Amino acid sequence: MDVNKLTPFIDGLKTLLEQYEVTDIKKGKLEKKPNLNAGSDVNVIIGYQKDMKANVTYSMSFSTAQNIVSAMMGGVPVTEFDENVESGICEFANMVSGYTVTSFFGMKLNLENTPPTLVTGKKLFLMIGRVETVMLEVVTPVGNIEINIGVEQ
Amino acid sequence: MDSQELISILNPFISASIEVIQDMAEVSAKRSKIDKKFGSVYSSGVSTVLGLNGKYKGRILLDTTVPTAIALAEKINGEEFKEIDETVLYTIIELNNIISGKAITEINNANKEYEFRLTPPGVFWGEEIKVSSPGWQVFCVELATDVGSFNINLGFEGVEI
Repeated sequence: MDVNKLTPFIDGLKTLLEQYEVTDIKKGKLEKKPNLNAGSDVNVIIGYQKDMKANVTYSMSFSTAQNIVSAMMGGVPVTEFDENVESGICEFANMVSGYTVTSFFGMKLNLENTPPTLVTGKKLFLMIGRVETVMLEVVTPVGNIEINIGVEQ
Repeated sequence: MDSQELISILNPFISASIEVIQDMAEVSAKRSKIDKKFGSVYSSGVSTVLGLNGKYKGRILLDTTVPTAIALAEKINGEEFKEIDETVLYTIIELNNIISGKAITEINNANKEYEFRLTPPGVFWGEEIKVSSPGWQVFCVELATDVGSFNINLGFEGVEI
């Protein structure tokens, strides 16, 4: 996978977190996997089409999701993972995806994203595609977020 | 989307599911229940998800219990599986990819303006899995098959019927 194609996904997440005053964002582990699998508490799946066919998951713990939604609400404490958090984290992923699509457009790649699907559960195993996948961990003060990117073409 | 449009999308999924399950697994299926839910659905055990773009944006979720997924994989592959493994999952992904591709082709051929496009399928399994699309209406069709129920869930962004 072309490393340049990772940048819009990372930049999208970083830009949006910084908008909500979450700064000091660092890149963590970077791993290649034979297929796209993830298994955190909270997984948001977004598909991309047109010039690049890909599936991406943003995976995190329940507490990280709560912290992100708290940051989106200006720091209002969020103590449980409820429907408001589900809605907030989907909205967050949708906005990240919007930034990502815009960044790719600047690279002359026209992409279209699907709406986010949120998958939560116990002992959850998620496998999105049989393509080689890059997992990038993003370390933030609100918790770690795994971005799994599987490009089919 | 009006109710006629919904029917024009739901029916090809029902017929494609029945035909493909019959062709690939030699298992007969028939329509059982239709339901409408809001926002979230719980997985029965093994679910395949595909994103959808076009006139309407949304997602397709095809869902069975673990025993039904194993039984379908056994019928398709002609071998026994004691538990969910990679072969079972790839079989279920392939089955659902074929169902969705067939349904979308039929829908697009009948209604050129829809121009639906699918993302690659993904599969997940586990316990108490909740699939959420906050604020959406989700249309659920249950098929009764010889090896257990097979659920078709279609959700569309911003659609109210």
